[in-house]
Amino acid sequence: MNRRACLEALLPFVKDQLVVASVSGQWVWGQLSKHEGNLLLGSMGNALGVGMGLALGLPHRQVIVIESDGSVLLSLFNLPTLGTLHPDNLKVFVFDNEAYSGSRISRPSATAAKTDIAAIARDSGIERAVTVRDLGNFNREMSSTIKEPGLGFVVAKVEETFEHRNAERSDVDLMENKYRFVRYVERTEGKPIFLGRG
Amino acid sequence: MLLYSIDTPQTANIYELTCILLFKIACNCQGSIYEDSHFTIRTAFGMNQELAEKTVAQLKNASIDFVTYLPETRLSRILPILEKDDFFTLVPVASEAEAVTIASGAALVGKRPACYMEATGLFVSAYNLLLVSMRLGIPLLLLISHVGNCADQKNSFRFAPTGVRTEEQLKALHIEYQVMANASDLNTGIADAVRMMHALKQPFALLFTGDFTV
Repeated sequence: MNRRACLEALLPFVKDQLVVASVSGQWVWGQLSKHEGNLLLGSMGNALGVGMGLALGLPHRQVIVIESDGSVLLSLFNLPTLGTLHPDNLKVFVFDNEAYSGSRISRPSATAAKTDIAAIARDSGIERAVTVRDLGNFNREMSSTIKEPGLGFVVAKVEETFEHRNAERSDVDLMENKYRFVRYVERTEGKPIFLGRG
Repeated sequence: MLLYSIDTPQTANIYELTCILLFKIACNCQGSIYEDSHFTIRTAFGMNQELAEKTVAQLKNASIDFVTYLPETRLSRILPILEKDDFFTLVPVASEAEAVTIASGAALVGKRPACYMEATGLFVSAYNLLLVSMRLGIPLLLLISHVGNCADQKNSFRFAPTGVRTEEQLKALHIEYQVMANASDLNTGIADAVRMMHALKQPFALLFTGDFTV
């Protein structure tokens, strides 16, 4: 299974949701989607935490998190916190290629050995955490996760690909991305986000 | 005469309670082990109830409405007060690192967040402060128990080695801060800090020590 194919399948399901991506997912997702509700963090270990904050702060709005195995492993404490807080409007997709492919030497991550992220998630109280290994199952789980209420957590086992190493990088920096995201939230929620007028 | 009051929740472990009671007897201290919420106050020190109530009132006056936290000793009396007030969304976390990322996410959808942590948590969360809150420019109030600081009335070898480096750490991170050592600092300190964090669109830290650690 290929991460790009999964994200292409996810694309038509994204309407007015807020989407947060960690560093590995953001290159492909950023190419595929120009959604104003995208928040591309450009770092590892932060997307799930930020996604929880978005979901808790705006509980009527669906929030999608695009994560990777290395990023989740870096902030593994997020899983018990997520299982405890259990925001019903949060949908998490972890693309697990079992490698630190951003390192350019592709060292294996712990999921290449015995670590099972979905199992850790389930034992942390995220009851519906599942692992899928082919595109058909991904499409089915992704569709039901997006459509049905409740916290969703899908680990997609994907092959390691290298397209991100040669992908054209956006010239939209993190600050510009933040303001575009915040203005989108302000417009769609009808409320100011930042205080402090000039 | 010493009084030992144990208001035992149904879920309390009798072995644990016995150990705490013996510890308190050994320490010649008195007080209630369990208070009237699920928060457990097991220490006889830290800010008093009046200061805790005033701190929470000032947070509310400054429109702070979302608080992530990892409990510690000095300021922990604010937690039951925050919990009882529906104005606040109170978010327990497992690491100060996610206290920062969760609060940052909430700020981006209109919440006015604070992260309550022990000073040691500042070292834990430095990466997340730098790569999320500071790089994106997110207003965030850091309520930091300045353990190990010279004015910390319960200072010990456990806290001093990190405490003497806390302000240097904030300077290295380029995070603006104020030290809150006197009870009277509450009159304007929180409001000033919140105004500043919104003006800067950056984290701003308040370091509680002195009167808040008695």
